Amino acid sequence: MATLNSTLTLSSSDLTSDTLAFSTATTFSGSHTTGLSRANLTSVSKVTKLSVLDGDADVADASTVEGQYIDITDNHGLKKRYVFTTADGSGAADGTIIVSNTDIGSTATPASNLIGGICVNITNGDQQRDILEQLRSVINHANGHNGSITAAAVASEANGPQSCTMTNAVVGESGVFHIDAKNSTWIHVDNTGDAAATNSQQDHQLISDKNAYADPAILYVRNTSAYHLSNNIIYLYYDNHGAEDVLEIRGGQFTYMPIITTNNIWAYTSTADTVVEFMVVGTDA
Amino acid sequence: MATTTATVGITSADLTPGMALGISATTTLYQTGTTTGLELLDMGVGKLTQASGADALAEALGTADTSNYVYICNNSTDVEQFIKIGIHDTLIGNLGSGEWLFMPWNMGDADAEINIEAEASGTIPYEYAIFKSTFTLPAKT
Repeated sequence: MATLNSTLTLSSSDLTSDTLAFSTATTFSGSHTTGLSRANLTSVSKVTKLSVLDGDADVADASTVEGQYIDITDNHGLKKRYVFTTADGSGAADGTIIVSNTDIGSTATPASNLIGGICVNITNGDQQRDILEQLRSVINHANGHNGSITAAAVASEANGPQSCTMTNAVVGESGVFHIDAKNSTWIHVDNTGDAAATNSQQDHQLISDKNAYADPAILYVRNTSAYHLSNNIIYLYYDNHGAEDVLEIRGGQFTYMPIITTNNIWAYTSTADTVVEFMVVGTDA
Repeated sequence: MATTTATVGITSADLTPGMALGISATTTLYQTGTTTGLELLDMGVGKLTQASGADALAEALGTADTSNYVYICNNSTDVEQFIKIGIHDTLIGNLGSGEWLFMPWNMGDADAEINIEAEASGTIPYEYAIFKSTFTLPAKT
């Protein structure tokens, strides 16, 4: 075991009549660490939304999207792969669960990585907005997430990015879901990282991995920005079902605290491009 | 105006092989902004027992975002004794014997009280300090 030595010093000459000169030290035995890391936080929200690049762009040939997919995971870990099939090519209908001989449009032998996926049936001439809206209805389908995610209707077609916002209808539970936009093969996903782009837990920074440490572990976090009342605030939350924020760390502030390791800790920010400095020390999970 | 500084030093000679760890971070405890220091200090010691369940160490104002800081130390020497630290219904972490925490605390949400609870039998001594921006006196009864 390695030894971590930590000292906190609090001092003031004018807070009280007596000079405050407080110092406390502790040691912690840890076997491994994230190391001292820094990450650039870009996501400014816990609102989950899936965006397409250009809502009114026509997709004349739906087969160009056939077999493409996107994975979405709810806050209980239920992951579904939504796969596009083509109506013009006799592809399977909305909500169909793909098996080894499901017709996805041009073939009845879908690739193995599509088996188990949920069909989203699209048509030649759909616009990107229409495809997103079709996907939205399948997310709410009995074979989709079936209510664990409430996917809101997409606005009427418009130029530029358009999105579908996802919430959780269960009181006390969070709407922080995971949209795997990075690994999606769907070519219309807006994963540019700007304000209009797809935003989900994938866009937050993982600070502590629940699988990496036994309980308790030690967390150190510092906000490297200069102080500002409303800008560059770092928010930390556990990804339990509620996913409520547990800490707000403004510019220049730091925390040193024990954490539980039954959930991951994630970070996002009030202002894009806020750099978080962090380190977790713990023992084998 | 009072100026209080907090410094955390973290060192280890053997946690990261070939690269000694040496972190030092200092912050000045300001009220909202960077000109006025925190002026209110609530500190003390206490004892917890498992039978007493979770107790609120401090209630949140719930009126506005403010800058506040919390220090808590578990002064037990029994490694089986730890203090569960929570903010309202969320368990933050388990503070082991001899360990301390220091963290900012935003009181903007009324349901954000700091609560502490002893685990394992016996009595757990603890000490705490809360640096606050503002304080509202309770109403006269």
